[in-house]
Amino acid sequence: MHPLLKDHILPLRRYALALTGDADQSDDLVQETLARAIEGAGSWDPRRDLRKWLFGIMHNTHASGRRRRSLEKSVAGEIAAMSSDSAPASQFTSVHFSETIASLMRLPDDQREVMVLIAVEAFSYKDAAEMLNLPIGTVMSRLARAREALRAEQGRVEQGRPDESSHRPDLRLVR
Amino acid sequence: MPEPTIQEPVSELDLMAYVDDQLDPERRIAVEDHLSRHPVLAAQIMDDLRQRDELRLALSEAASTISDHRLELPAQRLGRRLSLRIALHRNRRAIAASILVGAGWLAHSMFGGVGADPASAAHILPVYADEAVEAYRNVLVEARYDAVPWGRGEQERIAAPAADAGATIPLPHLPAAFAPVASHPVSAGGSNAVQMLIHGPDDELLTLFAVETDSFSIEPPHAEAVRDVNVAYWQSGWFAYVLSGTGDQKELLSLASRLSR
Repeated sequence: MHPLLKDHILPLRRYALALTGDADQSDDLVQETLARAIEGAGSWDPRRDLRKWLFGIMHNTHASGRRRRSLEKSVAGEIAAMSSDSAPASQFTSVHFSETIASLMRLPDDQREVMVLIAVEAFSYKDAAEMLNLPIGTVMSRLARAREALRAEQGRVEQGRPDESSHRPDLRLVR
Repeated sequence: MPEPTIQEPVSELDLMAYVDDQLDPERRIAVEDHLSRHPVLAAQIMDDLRQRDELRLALSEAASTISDHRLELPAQRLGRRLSLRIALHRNRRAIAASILVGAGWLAHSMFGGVGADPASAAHILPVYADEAVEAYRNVLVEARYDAVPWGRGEQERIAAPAADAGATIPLPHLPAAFAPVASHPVSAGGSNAVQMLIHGPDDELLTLFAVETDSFSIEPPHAEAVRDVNVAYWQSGWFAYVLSGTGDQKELLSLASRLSR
């Protein structure tokens, strides 16, 4: 693997998997992302974060593909396919991890992509907002809803949050 | 002046940013202090952190089972192109530096006391030698991949991206044996400058740097070797020129003489 890209392939695969919920489709998405990146390499400024640039391309590639395939099967159907016998044996070998991913896949697309970019890939709120072309507040509210949904999935009904939660001082973001 | 607040209350957003590691150290400590006094909340935060780690592990494990076989070729191609972008970026900076080699040498030889002897240029060149050589080599690499993304060369006058938009740099008239490949305007220490990529009479690759100076002079070409790259300098009026190539030094000087006429 080319040294410039070797550290980015696995994260791209993770994101592609979370976006598509399917090993084969995710492989296609990574391929298409690289193809688009090759075409657009002339626009990449070496001073810019390569990982962020690649993730942005993947997001756009997936978004345009999603529009194309608007009549395709729902995420629920994909999950069913993932857990069915017809799914490639290489996928999700750990039962526990399968459940974790299944919970993630049950999130709406917009929450899932934010969750993966920030919680899994550790992008800053600001970078994620730029990549998704969204206001930072929207990104954060989607993330909060995603977390809440995942907590609910695990039967951990939210309770006992402090009264202060209604009073929100500014965040001291460091990234 | 109002008294500074001792501690702003920890909010839901703070807790979220804590989980995502996006707080500054001071606020992080405040959140941890808050959590230490609210064990139920702390347990929920621990759950969120665990959930985050589980997601990372789960996705990593699932993603790593997919073979990279289909990605090898496109990744190589992309990596090469990105490497060239990086090389070009470095090249642009190096071009500016190598133009200074020429301009500095000219100024030194024309106005500096001890520098009147062209041989003293040898004392100046090594300062920029690495970058000058790198600039030329990068051009060679880009040319090899046909990836020089500059505009087509214009033989006569090319506008440079200077503060004075009307400023132009006269490029030498290229004899028929010279074929301009591409040109690239650069800024060199606030001066207008242009780099041209040229195929010489024997199809060898040459770079010509042209830079505006602050002194008027007419100086015939002089050649210097910087390791395996030869450079020839001359000045024509307000403009200095630096021709670089890997060919024979005498030959480069001869080419420079043809260009400087």
